[in-house]
Amino acid sequence: MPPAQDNKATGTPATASSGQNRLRLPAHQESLPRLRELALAWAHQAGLPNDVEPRVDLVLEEMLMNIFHYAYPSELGDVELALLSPGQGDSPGRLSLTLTDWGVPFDPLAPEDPGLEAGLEANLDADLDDRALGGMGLFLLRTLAKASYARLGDANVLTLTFGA
Amino acid sequence: MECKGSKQGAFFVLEVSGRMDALTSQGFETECMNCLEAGDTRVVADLGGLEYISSAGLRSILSAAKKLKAGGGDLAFCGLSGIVAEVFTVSGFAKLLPVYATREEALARS
Repeated sequence: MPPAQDNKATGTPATASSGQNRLRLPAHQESLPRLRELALAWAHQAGLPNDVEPRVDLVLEEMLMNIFHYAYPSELGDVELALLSPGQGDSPGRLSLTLTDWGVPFDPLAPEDPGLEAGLEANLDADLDDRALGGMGLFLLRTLAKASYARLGDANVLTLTFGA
Repeated sequence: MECKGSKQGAFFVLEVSGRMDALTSQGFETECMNCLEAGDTRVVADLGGLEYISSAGLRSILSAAKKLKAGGGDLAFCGLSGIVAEVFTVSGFAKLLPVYATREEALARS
């Protein structure tokens, strides 16, 4: 079932994925390099500015680690990365993609606790001894990408847009 | 991620290069703990060769900084650029920790 046999896929040429518009893999850490490589290939094709491309890398890692750690507390499930509206969608310099999992419902954009957002902001100003890092990945998501979330049936679908 | 260390006066300089991500970042804290054990409590991390950092990297840095501080030392940074500088800024780390433009400045502090 898991198509990921080559865990050491970091060295695979990015060009191999040029025509590929989606990739579904088991939601564990070993899948990160292949998903990352595909997203960066899309970012490159989309002509994202050089300073925006690393944001794709970063936000993808943050969201994938979240899914790897929390989406499937009991049984391992999948995660799917897809290019949004391939072929027609985005203008040059812009990239939209979706991350889908079929795990525990989770909206990374809507803190259940209204105090969380304020807490996060206050935490940014805390000094070294008091600083905690919970929620930093979600904060980076909101800061570095345009994102929207939908629960579609039994799936969490996060749409990410980068660039102008 | 790679770390190259060298003693420079009162400081121990760690030249960090590559990627500080979920798969590699723990190595940074380990390097800092090795410094601490060897009695080098004042560490300067030169991130000039670092291409990428995620929240996992920030976690490793925060943990290392706290432990060095508890050991009577500190952890300073220099050479940040690109996404690394951006992440330090938006996360508040640039205000939280001593960050210098160049290694010379980082080594010149008291």
